[in-house]
Amino acid sequence: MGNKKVITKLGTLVEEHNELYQLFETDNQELSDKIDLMRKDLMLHLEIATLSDEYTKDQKKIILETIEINEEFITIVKKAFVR
Amino acid sequence: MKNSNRGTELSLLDDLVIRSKSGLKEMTKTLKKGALLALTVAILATGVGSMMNANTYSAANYTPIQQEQVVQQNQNIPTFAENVQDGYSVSSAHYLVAMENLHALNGDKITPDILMSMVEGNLTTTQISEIGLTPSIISSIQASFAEHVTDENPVQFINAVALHIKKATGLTMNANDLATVIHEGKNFDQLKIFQQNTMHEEIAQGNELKGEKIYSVVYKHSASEYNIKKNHTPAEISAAQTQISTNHKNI
Repeated sequence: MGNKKVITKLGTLVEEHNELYQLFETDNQELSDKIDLMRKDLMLHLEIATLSDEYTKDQKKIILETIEINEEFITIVKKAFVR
Repeated sequence: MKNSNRGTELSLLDDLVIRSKSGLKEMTKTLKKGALLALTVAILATGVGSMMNANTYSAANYTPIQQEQVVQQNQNIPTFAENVQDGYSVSSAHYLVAMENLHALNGDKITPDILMSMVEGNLTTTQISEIGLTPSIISSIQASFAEHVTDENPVQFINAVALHIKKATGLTMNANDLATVIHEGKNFDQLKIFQQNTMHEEIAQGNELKGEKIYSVVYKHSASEYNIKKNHTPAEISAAQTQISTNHKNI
């Protein structure tokens, strides 16, 4: 996955976190805090991706894992908490 | 879904949060000097932090085992872990990491005095030359400080900066002290004396006299106000002001 695709993917994930955060912001503080942490980390990854011309092999591995972690997080939240 | 199941899911989410932080730390380690500095400035100036000021995430949200994991996994970024543990917002913790990065990048060049000059916006040409940052980067940092000192949650940010300075200098400051330093442009030697004055007063009076009130006595000599608030005798006020004045002359 190239940097541009990564940036697009990270942006999509941030948007999903934003939507979930807004959903739980008022009535589930514990969950919304966790979502907030995840989206903040993603925003920093997004900054790094924007700053980098091309990922190294190590960076590519980390970012792919990060994407998987966030997808898993979003899946769990949707299945367990979204009615 | 039953509550017990949701508890399990929340625990899974916690694990993912920790893995996310670990990944971010690993990614930061891979960055070259230029990219790290650019990231630092981006955090400081463009507002990853400003987007983050809505919530505070404290260690209370972690189980003890998870807290330990966070500390271990962030051991190379102790400020971040310590501050999250201490209940600072992740935003403030990120700012501290940014400041730590600046130190790491510039070695000993960013001294506490230079840091405070940055905050105060009165870096000298010599200082700018010493630290090797461009004027635009310095302006970004100053703008970031200005924005966050005046935003809706200034005390938290100031506390985070105070903690940073404490780590760098050993000086302990509360938010009032630091705000005073920022707004009045004191340097660290002056701050030490300021703190001595505060301590002198607190010890002498055995009360909870705060920095702001001490400051008003020191600089405005508002003895009547002081008397009303603390019910001191004129002799006591005079003695306190003499002591303060002596210290003040050393500033």
